[in-house]
Amino acid sequence: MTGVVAARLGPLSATAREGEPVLILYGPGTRDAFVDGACRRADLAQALHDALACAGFERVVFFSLETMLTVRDAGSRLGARSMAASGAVSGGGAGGGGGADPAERRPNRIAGPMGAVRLAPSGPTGAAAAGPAPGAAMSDDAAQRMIVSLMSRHDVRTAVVLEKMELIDGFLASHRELAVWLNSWLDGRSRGGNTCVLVFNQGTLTDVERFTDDCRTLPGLADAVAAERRRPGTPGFLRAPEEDELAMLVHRARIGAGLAVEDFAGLRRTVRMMVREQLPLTVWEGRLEYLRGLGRPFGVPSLREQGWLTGPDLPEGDVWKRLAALQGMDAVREHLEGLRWLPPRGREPAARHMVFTGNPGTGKTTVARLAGEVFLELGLLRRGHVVEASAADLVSQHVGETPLKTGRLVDSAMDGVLFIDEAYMLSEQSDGFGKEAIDTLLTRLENDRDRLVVIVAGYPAEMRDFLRANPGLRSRFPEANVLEFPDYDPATLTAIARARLDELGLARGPGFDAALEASVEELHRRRDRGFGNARAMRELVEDTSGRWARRVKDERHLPLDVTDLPGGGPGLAAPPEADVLLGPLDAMTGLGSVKAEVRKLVLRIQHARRRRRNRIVAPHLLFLGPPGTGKTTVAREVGRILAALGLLRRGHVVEVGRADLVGRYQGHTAVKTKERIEEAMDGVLFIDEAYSLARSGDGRDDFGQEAVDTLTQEMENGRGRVVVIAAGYTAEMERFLDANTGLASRFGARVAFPPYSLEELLEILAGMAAAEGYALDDGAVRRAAALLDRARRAPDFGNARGVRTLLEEMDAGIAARTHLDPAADPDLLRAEDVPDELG
Amino acid sequence: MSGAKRISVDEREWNQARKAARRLRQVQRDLPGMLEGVRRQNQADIDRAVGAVARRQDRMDGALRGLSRYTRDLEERTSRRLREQAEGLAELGEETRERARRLRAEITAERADREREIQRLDERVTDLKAGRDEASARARATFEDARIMHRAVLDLPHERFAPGRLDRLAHRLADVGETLRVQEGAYSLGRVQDIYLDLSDLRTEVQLAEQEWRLAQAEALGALRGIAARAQAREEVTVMDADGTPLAGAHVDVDFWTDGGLRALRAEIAERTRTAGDPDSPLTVAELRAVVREQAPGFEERLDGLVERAGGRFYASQQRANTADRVIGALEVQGYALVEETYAGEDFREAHYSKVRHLGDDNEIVVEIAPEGDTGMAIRLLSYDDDRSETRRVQRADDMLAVLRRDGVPVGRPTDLGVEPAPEDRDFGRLRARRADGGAGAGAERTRTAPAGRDGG
Repeated sequence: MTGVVAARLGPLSATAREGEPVLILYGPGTRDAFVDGACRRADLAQALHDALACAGFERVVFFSLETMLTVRDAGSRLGARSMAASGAVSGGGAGGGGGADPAERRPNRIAGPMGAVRLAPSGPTGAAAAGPAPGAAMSDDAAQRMIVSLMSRHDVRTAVVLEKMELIDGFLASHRELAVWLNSWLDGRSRGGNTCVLVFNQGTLTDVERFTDDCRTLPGLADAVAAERRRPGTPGFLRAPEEDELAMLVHRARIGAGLAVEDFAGLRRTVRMMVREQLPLTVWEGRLEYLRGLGRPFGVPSLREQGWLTGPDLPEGDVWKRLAALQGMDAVREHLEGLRWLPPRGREPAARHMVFTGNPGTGKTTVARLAGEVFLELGLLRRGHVVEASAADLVSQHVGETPLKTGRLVDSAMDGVLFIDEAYMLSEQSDGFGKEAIDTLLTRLENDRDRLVVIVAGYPAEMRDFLRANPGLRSRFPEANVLEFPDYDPATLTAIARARLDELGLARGPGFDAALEASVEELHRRRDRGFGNARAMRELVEDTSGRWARRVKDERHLPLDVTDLPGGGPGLAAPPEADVLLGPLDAMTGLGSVKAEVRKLVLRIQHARRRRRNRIVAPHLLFLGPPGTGKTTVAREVGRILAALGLLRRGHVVEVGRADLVGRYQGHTAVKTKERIEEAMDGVLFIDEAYSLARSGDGRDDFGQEAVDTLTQEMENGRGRVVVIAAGYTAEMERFLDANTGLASRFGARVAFPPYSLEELLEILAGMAAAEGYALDDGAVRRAAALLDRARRAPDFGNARGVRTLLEEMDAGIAARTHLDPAADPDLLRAEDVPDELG
Repeated sequence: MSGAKRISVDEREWNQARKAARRLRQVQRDLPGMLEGVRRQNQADIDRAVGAVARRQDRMDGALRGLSRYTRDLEERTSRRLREQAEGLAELGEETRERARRLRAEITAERADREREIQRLDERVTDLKAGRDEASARARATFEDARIMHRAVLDLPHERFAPGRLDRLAHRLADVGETLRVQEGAYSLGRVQDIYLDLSDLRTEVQLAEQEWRLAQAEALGALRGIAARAQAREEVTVMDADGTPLAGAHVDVDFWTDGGLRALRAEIAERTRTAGDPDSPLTVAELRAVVREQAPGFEERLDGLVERAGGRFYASQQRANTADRVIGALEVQGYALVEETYAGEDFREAHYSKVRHLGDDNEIVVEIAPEGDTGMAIRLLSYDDDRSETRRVQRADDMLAVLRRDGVPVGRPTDLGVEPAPEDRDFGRLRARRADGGAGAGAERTRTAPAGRDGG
């Protein structure tokens, strides 16, 4: 009897002491070895024996199909009082794990005239003398009888441990008496202070539950498993070894086998990194032995050398200091620091589940780990480890598997933090399995809230939708626990990039720092929802160093140059002069106010850039005016100009109408609209006749409204990365802007496209004709002017488009005329070629 | 169907005990120290015999010192020869007996010479007057010599070796004395001389016979002492294993393990030794020779038998203890624990009883391992349990037997004894107090050895 219980079996021992009649044991540790506080190594049975003995059981009997009944000490034998404790095992053939026959190992107890001498075995074959016979095991019937009778006794407190229940289940099918007894035991009849420990080789309680569902011989098992589920701390779960135990293992190897330890001060930290690997003690045992064999001292370097430590090194210093050092996320830091000073705990444990919103690379995982440490430090969680998962880790493709998969995952995170990245994807699963996962999660979030912290993470908008998707979720994650992780600001990102370049040992040439800063700023400005933050910096550094290497070739002493930055330092080259930039626009006929407006924009941008202040965001624009006034053409020009100014990366124009945005059923519209915006990303989304989206105004056109709402939202989200130009008649466009209260304010400028004057129309006609190789004689000009003057008064006049129609009709006219008069000049349009009316 | 089962053990397989015992017969028969003791004792016996003969001869020589010149030389020669013969006694065996025969022949031849000489004298006496006086004087002298010889022979154990003959010669001597007194001696010379020679013959014969008897006695004593020494030396023997290495702790008290057989044998040998060793032993030479030729080898044979039996029983007892241990081990595997164990009457020679109790339901089984013959054994299982399911009892017995077979114990199928075990068979107090039927005779007070044996183990 030891009195020292392996740490992992402590909870079980405590529960057993309380007199629980049925205990179940499961988890990865059921196949592991243990080291207790006295540095002693024990297998599961021995450790379990010690734990139960410590809980006050005078007799601990093990039952397994391999060895039938075994005991671990003389005290468990009934005859211990009268017989000397010889180390022999009574009632079992495998005291030390089977193999040798106990009769061959223990001295004879029956003295003959020669005393306790054992004569050489006789026998015709002499086989018995050849070596120890294979170990004898108790027969099935005897074992069955023994269990039943021991457990019905009340004079000696007895624990029966049934090992490998999965195998015993099959055994019970043919051993009715034992099955009947076990079932009645599980039902709570005839107990009397004894206990039955059922050991499952299942990894999690969920797996045990699943096994129980399939178990035919022991219907009462389900209740026992449910009881374990309800028990605070699920004491039957045997996990991978924790810090203290692994530390003991290291000391054992150090003292017992002479393993050298490199750094005693850092021992604890090294062991904590071992714990993080979540491996069985036996694995570490073998590894330490291997290390000793190599003659290498134990420490982070040697463990790293063998590839045994996978994560990053654990930071030094206490968690609070590291928390305080968190940069750029004050809200997060304050929230976690706030946990330190909590109101008194009530009876109901408070839920500490959290939502982290933000882009990837903003430190969510790091903070989750830190949160785990904080909870551990504060004693709110026993382990504080972080299990990282994505939606796919919770959901299965097979019916009925999802709750199990989710359950297992939650089990593995017990006493620690379950970090589910991109959790919103659960609600986006169309097959409904995601909902199953959420439902399972909801139950566990509530039931295990004193042992588990779940952190769900993802993009802000998606996470909002996610929480909305299930009313239960909202209540499990208090609003105060929603923490926003902003993207890193350009300065931080630049520092990260610079540090990475330094790590590579690359010198920065003159002007490079400024270029890098600008480049990062540019990246930051152009960042989209998926902006990788720190990850994007890594990519930038990789790209830059690659370019540097290709440029310098063998001369690797050369420093980094501005040209090594991707795009040669975007936006760094002096922007083109306004006149150059606006040339093509200026060359267009008319559009005086449009030109002025665009020019104003260009000058502002250039000014801001010179001052290196506030980043300039390309504004969304309203183009108001009748058709044919050059809105589409100008939109293309605007795209080109903004791209040349570096405000848009591509500057392409995606032209859409109502049909491109509005879907056929509820929800389709938003998707369609988003797709179009995505298409226009880094360019211009040109919505012609945008007012058609808000056509009726009586609320019946829900789909159009949906498009407007989506648009309104996406214009904000995509600000700086996409320019939306909505175009249409001035009056109708007002209706459009009214369709959503936020919409009007999203547009930075209104550009009026007035109808062309007669002179402008004639100028356009001349230009178009010249482009086709035609000239107009005076008669033709006069006649065309008269026609256009009439036509432009009509409300539906197509302006430049009308001019195009006119030219086409004149083309038809000259074709007919020169057909009749082949000698006529085929390139000169004359009055007779001009139609009387526009078709 | 009952709780009592007998399990046979294939006896052919238990010949180890017999083999071990046979090895005992072959070794340890003659121990050097023992031989030396016996030899010394033998020598003392012979010395004693030679001394007695020599003293007799001295006395005889003294007695015959007064002989006349006519007979002195003859008797001196005879005495010398007898003395030589006596000295040869020290070297027992055929040679001595051969010499005795020669001696006899020589004496007979001399006597014939003497008779012829007297015959010649007789003829001369009748012829010559002068010779008549001479003859008378000679007759008187011879008569005196005869009387001396008569007295000398009286001192010899003549009645034992030649009963009645001296009396007859005494009568003839008295007759011739009367004749000499009443008539001239010369005429009686022949008769006187005859009587004298007969007396002389008797003297030689008795002396030789005595010598022969003493020789035979010494030989008989030697043989008996040898076997007595061997019997003593084998009071305790050591059992050897097949290599001839003595087994640790295997010291066998032969008398104990033969139920006093050794002690009885030794008493018999002692008695015979006493009878044969008595100077006045009634045993004849033939009887003494039979002791050497027949009785001593018979004792030897019996001694070997006793040693073998003791060794066999001793070894078998240890085998029973081992078997009991195995049976207990086999039952322990099935969930029983040993509660108590003893030998009937706490005697290793008797059956061993062990009581095991089920750790769970407290039911008990008594295992009896009884001797069968000297080297065999029989196992009885007596189940005292609430559960009288025969299937389960059979199963339990089978499980146990499997373990025994695995250990090389050639057990057969159990036979049902048809009765529930008797309650007294689980009363170990009673079993301990039980005395072996028929007792162990002289060894009875040494049978309570089991407890001491246990402590030593």
